[in-house]
Amino acid sequence: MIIFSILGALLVGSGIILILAKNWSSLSVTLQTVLAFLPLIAAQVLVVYMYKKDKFNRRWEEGTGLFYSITLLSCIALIGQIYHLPGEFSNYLLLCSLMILPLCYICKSKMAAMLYLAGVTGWMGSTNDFSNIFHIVFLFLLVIPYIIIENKRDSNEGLLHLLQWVFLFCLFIAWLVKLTFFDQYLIMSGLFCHLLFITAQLKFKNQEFKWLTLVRIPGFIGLLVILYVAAFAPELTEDVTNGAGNKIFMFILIILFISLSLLVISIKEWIKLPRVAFVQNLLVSWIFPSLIFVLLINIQLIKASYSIPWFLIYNLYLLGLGIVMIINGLQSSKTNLRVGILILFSWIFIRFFFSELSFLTRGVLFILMGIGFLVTNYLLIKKQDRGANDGQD
Amino acid sequence: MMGRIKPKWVVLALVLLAHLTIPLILILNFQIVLGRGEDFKILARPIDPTDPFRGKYVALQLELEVPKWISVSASAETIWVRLEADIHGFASIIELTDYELKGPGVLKISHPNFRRDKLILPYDRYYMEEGIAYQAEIVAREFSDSTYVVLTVKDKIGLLSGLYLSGIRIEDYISLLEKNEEQ
Repeated sequence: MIIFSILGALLVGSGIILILAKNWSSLSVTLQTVLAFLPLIAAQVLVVYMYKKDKFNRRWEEGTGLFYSITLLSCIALIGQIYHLPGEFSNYLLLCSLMILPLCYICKSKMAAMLYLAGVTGWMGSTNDFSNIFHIVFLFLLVIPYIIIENKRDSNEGLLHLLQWVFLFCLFIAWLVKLTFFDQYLIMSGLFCHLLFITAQLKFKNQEFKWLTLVRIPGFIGLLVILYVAAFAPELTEDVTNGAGNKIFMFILIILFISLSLLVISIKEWIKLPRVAFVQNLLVSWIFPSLIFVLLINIQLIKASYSIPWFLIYNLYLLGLGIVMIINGLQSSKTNLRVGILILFSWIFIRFFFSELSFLTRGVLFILMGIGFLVTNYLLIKKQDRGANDGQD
Repeated sequence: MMGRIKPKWVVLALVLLAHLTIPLILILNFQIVLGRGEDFKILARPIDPTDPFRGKYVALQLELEVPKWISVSASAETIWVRLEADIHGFASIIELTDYELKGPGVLKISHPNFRRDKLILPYDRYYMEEGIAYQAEIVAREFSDSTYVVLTVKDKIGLLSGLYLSGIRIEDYISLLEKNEEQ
């Protein structure tokens, strides 16, 4: 059982960490140093043995990979202890993570890859430095070849699925944590979610990356959150006007580029879709970044702050998205229907309770909207009936 | 017969070697600092927490007063500090800049931490054997005016080389205490 080899490696490794953490300051520095290297060398012997006997099965790979990673951690930790290194945990984490990284390639260990991802994410969270925001992309890219190799080997393995989820989760957390350093946190994270969402829809040679489709879920949820904030708390997005929009500008250009390539790649397929589905695809994948782009152009170049009532536009956008998703959902998938209904109802709910419009205006708006719904419903039912009749004929 | 060495073995060897050399380079650097560096004494107030990975240590709070004539914005990412020892060996800041300083006794500090007119040095922990660390905290309270660390500085790197109670290494002091109790 693979779980036993993982648990075994974990226990032995942690035991070694604890024994070393006892701090043998009564021993001489040289002896302590030797002590720090002993487990590491043992792990290396194990790996060489694995190579020699060609024991590449999951038990050996995961076991040695995990054990090796832990001995690396403990070796560096012990050096920190011997020399009383200051408690800057972040650098320790980065160094250890980078040392662990090759283990996923040489031991083919998914556990090592997960440790690496967790370590890098931890490093992201623990530094007060946001200049490394683009390092994340690079650090995460380093694992991707491994994931691809493993997918070719056996794409149905449980640990591999876990690794892919860990990858997405860590990437998501790392970015969101890092983005808090920006004044324009909300817009940045919205853009990021959108980036995830549209990247996940890219196809190469008609081959969808199966695991990338997972990204759509957090991406879309994040996108919705941002839209709600923009629609209901416009004061939170006003930071964009306070200068320093250049980083966002670059970011949004990248996103626009990707969403444009998405459009170019998949427009052929989209056109074959029913019209509502086509509109929905356009709305979520293309119109949102364009909206923000226009907003930024407006602020950066024309220097006109809020010459357009932006929150109104976001409100309309949300409403439109909700309606389109419901109609699309009625025609095809249940998920779209549910999400669309959720969007609309939460929109109504928030507008009803938190709006500053007068009661009269709100009342009239709601009645109008209600009538609109009833009419749409009536038309839809009629259409469905006709569709059913057509089918029967 | 000499067979061709497979590339996977070369890669393996390189990784294994790197894993050994990186820690060794770290150690070598630290040994050079400790061996050839300059010593400064800094008053300390030790207390006793634990680090799950790296074990027992006493937390130190090392502060140095920043002279009034020096003005560097507190938001500087990295600062350079020149230390000078008085006749008793205790350190004081004579220069503090946000550009690189050269010469002996210079420390590079990233993300410096200022508290009022004092600079908190980043050397905040002194590792001790399990069981002793708490004792150290108690003993150090008795010597609150004469507890100090020795910071060895070379090439802008500083390393703690000892925690002293009025001139005696704390490890020695505690083992002396234990011997007295046995007798």
